Amino acid sequence: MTATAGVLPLAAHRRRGFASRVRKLFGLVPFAILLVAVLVAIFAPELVPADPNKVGSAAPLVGPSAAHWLGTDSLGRDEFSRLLMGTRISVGTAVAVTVLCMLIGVPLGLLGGYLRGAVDFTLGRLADLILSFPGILLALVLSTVLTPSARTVIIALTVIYIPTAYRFVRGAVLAEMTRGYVQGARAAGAGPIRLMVRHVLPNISSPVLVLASSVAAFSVLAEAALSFLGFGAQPPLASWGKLLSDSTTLFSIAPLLVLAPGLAIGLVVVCLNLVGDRMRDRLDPRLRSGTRVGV
Amino acid sequence: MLAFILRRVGGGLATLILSSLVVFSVIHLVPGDPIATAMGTDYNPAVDRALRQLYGLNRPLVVQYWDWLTSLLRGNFGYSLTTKTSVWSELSQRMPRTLILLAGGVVISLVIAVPAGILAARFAGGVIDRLVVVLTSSVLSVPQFWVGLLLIGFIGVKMQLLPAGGYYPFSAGVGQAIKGLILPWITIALPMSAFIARTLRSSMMDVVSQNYVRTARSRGLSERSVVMTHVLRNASIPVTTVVGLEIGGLLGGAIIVEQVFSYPGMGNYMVNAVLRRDYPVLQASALLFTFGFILVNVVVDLVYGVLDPRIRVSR
Repeated sequence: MTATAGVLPLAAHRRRGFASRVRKLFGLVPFAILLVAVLVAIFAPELVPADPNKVGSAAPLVGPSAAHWLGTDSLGRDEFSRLLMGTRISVGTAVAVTVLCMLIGVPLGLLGGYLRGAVDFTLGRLADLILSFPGILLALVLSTVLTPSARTVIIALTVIYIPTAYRFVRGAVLAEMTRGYVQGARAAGAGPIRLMVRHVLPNISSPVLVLASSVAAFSVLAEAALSFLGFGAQPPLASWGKLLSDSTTLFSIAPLLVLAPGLAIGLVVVCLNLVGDRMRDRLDPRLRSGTRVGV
Repeated sequence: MLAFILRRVGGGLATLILSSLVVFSVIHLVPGDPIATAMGTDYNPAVDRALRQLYGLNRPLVVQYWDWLTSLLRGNFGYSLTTKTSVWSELSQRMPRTLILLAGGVVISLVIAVPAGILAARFAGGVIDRLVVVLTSSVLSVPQFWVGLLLIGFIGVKMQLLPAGGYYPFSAGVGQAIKGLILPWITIALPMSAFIARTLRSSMMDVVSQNYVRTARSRGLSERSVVMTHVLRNASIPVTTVVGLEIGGLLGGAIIVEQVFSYPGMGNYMVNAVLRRDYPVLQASALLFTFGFILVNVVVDLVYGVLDPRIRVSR
């Protein structure tokens, strides 16, 4: 379908020489960083140099040292350990929201795009209804209904991003339905489920992956915002956003407490965006304009 | 055109009624009880009953919804459960503050984004273009409140150039009021300007390759008039859509930025209401935010219809 367009960037990469090899390696950096982030999230309890929640084991607000790489926070807790443990909540939330969103949004999108009619209409109006609220407002209202916790944030963000996923997948399915291979599969006797799962789904998998990367990126940012407002993980647990809200007034005394969590968030989001852009360019040049999932 | 306007406004009204229903019912599904929370350890069943009577919390939900809706229309937004003050008097004081914050944010973001987008597209692939791309993607990759924290830290606290937060009423001096607003304005404006600049850049690049632009060039028009009249006009249509789409982000941004700068606007009021489970305040402010959101979306739709007549006919 887009074979020629897809080959062009590949051909550029196949050029021999040092420069292109370096560039190729460079392109893997975002993937590597994301892998490290996920590993840190999984193994954080093993990796932390000090107990992240132990109050007063060191003097509060001391600068970085060999014992405390990022210094200590206002309660004398090791900031580096808290940052590592925060990775669990921040990255874990992003992974959970993305997986849930895809697990729910993709089948619904396939359903709506295939059946159209009443099903599509109902799902579409539901999506409109959710999208008629500013995202953060919905998250706030949902945090009132459920008690504030990391789990609440996951539920709220999933609810907010499903409509976007639905519309996106539905649109992609509608476009695929007009293609020749769908007619061919139909003529060959494929039933609706086989048609969707075996034929349409693989063909829309690349835009769906791009969508997933942007849902993940926005989840990291939105989780930080909600935690910052006090609606995420509750003390003594801390996500990156919570670390920031704990140190809002401390910038002049301990700038690292403000810089480090923010940079961690930025790094993960930049990598997710780069991975998304890369997939978009290499797998499917049709999608240059991109999708945006607002918070 | 009239049919188009009516259709859009009608759709907006329908969404508003539906969303009021959602706001109302979601808040009443809350497990935490406001009366019990308010009394805390001094719980007394008799007082509980009296308060429920007073606030009408003992009546069926449908009746409560109807009462709420009709009293809203009469301008009565109820009373805060925690401060016992009228929600409307509080909101009417805070609304102009939030509007000033938002309006300034939109203006600043356009002032940054439009030249940046035009220059980036005009010199595509050059230094300015790369700078714009790198800067916009950085801004969009970090939390907005973090940018605010850094501005407060560097400019407000370290260099002491501008106030680090709070609110300075215009009545007490316009200069000080504006000074106090600069950092919140920039914080609100940055993500939006990044997104607008990117959209403008890519839509201008699309338009530049169109035939009518080549025609305009071949007719010997100056580069300036080609860009300003032929390219910009057509490239601004997607930008309008983006501005509309970004309004939700902007309102969300206001909620967070007000918190960062301890700015006593509507967002600040609402966040505190959520933390205290203050239903009437939460309902009223959530509905007002949603109303603003829907209103802007309808207006953007209408503007879009004016800019691009094809929209009016379709659908």
